[in-house]
Amino acid sequence: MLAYALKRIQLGLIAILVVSVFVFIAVRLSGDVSLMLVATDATPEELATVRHELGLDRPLAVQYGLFAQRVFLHGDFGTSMRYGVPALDVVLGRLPATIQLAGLAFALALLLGIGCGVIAALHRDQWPDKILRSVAALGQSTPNFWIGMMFVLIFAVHLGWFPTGGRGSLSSLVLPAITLAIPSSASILRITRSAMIDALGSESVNFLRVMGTPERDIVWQHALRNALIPVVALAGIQLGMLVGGALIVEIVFSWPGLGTLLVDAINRRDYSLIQASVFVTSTFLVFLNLMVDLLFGVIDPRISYR
Amino acid sequence: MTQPLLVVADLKKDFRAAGHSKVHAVDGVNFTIGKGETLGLVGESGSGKSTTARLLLRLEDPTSGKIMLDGEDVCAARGAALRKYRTRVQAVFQDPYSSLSPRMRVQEIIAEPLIANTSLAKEEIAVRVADILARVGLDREAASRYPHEFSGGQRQRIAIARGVVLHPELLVLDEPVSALDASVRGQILNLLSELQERIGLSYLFISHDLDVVAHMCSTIAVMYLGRIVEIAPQATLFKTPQHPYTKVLFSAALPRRPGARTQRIKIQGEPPSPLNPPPGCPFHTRCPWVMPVCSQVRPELRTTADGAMTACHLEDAGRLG
Amino acid sequence: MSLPSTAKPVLEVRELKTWLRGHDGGALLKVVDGISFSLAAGESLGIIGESGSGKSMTAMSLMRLTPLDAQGGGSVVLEGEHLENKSAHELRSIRGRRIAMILQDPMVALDPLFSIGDQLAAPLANHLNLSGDALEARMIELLTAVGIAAPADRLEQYPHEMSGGMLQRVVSAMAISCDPAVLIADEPTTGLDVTVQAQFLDLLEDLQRRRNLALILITHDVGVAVRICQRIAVMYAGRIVEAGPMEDVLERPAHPYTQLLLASAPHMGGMQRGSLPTIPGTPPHLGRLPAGCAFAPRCPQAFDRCRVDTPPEFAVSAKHSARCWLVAQ
Repeated sequence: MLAYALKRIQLGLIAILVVSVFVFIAVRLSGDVSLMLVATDATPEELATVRHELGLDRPLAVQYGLFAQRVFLHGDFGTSMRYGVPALDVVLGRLPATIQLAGLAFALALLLGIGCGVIAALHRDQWPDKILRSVAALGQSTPNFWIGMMFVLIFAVHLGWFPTGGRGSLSSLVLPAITLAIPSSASILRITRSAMIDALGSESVNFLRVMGTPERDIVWQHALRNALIPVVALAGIQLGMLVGGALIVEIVFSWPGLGTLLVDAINRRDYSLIQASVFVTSTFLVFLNLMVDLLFGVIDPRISYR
Repeated sequence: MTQPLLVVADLKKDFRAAGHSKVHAVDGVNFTIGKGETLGLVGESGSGKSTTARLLLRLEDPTSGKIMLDGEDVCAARGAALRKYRTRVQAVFQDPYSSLSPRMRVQEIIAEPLIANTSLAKEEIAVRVADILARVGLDREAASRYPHEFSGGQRQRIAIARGVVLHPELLVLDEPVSALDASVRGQILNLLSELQERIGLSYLFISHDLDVVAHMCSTIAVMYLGRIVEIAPQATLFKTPQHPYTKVLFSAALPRRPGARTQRIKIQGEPPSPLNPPPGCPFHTRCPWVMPVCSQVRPELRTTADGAMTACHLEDAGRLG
Repeated sequence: MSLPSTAKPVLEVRELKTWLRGHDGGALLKVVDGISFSLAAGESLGIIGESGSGKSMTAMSLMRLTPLDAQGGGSVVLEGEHLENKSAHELRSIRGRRIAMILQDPMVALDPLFSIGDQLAAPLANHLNLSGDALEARMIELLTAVGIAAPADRLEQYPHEMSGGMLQRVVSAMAISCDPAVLIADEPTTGLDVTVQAQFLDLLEDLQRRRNLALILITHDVGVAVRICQRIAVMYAGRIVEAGPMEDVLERPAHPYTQLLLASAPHMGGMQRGSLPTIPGTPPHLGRLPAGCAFAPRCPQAFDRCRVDTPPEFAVSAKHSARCWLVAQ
């Protein structure tokens, strides 16, 4: 298990390194930064001076080296053009909001998805199953922003139970989290259902029945644990989507998360902020995936260092 | 004596296992197969018999050694030469349920080797497929059906049809009847015998079932941990087995009649893993007649009476029989 | 097939039936169609059948574990109690406790995510309420009884770390853990190496003798049954067509199917090369059984009556009977 964990961490670090290279290249490709910093009527000599100061006339590899040094050793992505403070600080300032939203949405998606998936599997082809599957299909196909806006309309505007947007008290987290959770929980429901059906029909469950094991142990201990393996894999991917793809929900609910920050920064060509934002989000995702991998190692004793 | 069809000389195959240790799956194997002959390969898990088959089919490259078909070394064959080899050496595998693609009709399954390895026209191919189907005892209309519509025995017939459609000279059969019911086995074995006579095929017949091997094979090689420990003509082997492992194997075989319980030679433990082979003779850790030399020196195959060969120090010490 | 035994039977099966609906909701499949036998403690019965004969469904029917939409019939009396009247809850306390089963493939029978110890402990905890030291002691005793060395270490291991032969021993340990009266083994040696198979059959025989188990061994391989069974029953299309003491049935098979089955097996001892006798045709579809004897279409000795009337059981000798009109003559 230790060897497995170390290998996974190693791969994670390599992934972060690759992200940094990608971020570096993407920003350089989008245009000459130096042009932003000089007046429009600058002479070629003034331009060259600025470029030299920024180190833009050095070979690309050297530039990357300097970039990597600044980022990994000092956390320095530059100063945000819009906010006037170090870009990393801006991003880290928004991180808690995203973690809150994605975290609660993820928990809801798991609870609903797995719970309903198990129920659907246990009542296969009977009415609870049919209802749940229809609801899941609906949840996946209805546009997420429409659901969000309907929630705002019904629960915030008409009933006044929740605020209409912004981040404030705990109640402001509820509607956006539920909206974000819906498509994920639908996917998790379907995977859980089919994995449970497979597990319940397997030879090992047959043997458990032959041994007279109580049905509740069969369902909740054996079948569920076996079914969780594909579910955890899917959940890992879903979590990534929740963290990186909450943009729509953030807009509908005016939630100050990383999604809107990044889109904003791109629109304003705030390079430092773009770099910092992409880098932090990616690192966070790598970390989350690492957790999922380690969880696999805990659930499934067959996983070994290969 | 005419040149044998296939000569395998000192064939070895190593695999790299997790943790960087080497597994000697096939560890210096020698045998020949003549035209129209059937050589049986008998062994348990880890014996290397399936790997040997894969090497002969060029599904793997050997680590060292020679495989010679009609005097030509085919280990290094590539491209056109390899394709030519494939038309001469074909295979039938164990599981009739997974060896046939469920998405292809029988017609396509049997035509596939022809399309891949020859440049025959479509009409010509159709004729050959129909011909082969008849030879293996299936109707013409079987050609347009899918594998799942057939029973296990019939699917194995399809697999055999696919294996012989190129008119190969050597057919490698890896446990061809193990997955079939008892009453169907006889039919398939009869078919194989018949085909051999009519087309003049040679077989490499791999099986763990001693009864089946006794019925089909003229010569039999017993494998243990990647090496051949005994090789002899069928009658000699079953009348007077020489190697201790062969004796143990025969004594473990199931009796056919209640009274016919032969004296069991019981040994401990299970077939060892090829990851950690014992030094000297691979069988010495479980051998009821082990001597001190067995753990130090690896015995080589030596000819005993009646054209049999066995690798055992007891033979050298004159104590076999 | 009544198969009378000498001692008081521990298991009595009368006209056991399990009929299933086919996949297309169409024909009724008479998978088990009137099986009767009785078994006393210490006796072993081999049930021989090929695929489609209904032998595995017979085992499941004995355990009362047939599909929910199956139609059942007949009676199964275990140690004097009728199982077909019991509730689901009562059955669960009987399974694994008084009647146990070993499945075919140990690699898939055990749950890969739980340790050997966890799985072995489950029936002991569920049925016998063992825990703590008593539980551990019993597990070690069981593993030793099935010939597993270093049992304490094995408890910590997982199924994927053990070989097929070892796993089959673990499954056997689980099956006998609560001292059942009846043990059913469904193709227990399929996929095992020749020497491992021999060792396992030794083990089964040993366990049966020491614990006075009534053993039912289900297999398609006559050799396996010959090895440890005193009595043999041959199944075809959901029915027992011949049954009796092992020697009698093997030396003097009365039913043509049995005769052909025995004759068509390649045999190591005999040096026959050349054509093996075979059984022409294929087994019947269980939803489209012919009128009269199910084997008649393939039987080389069939005559008119066979295709019209289903033969009942006829005595060949005191303990040996066959369902065949030929025997009546």
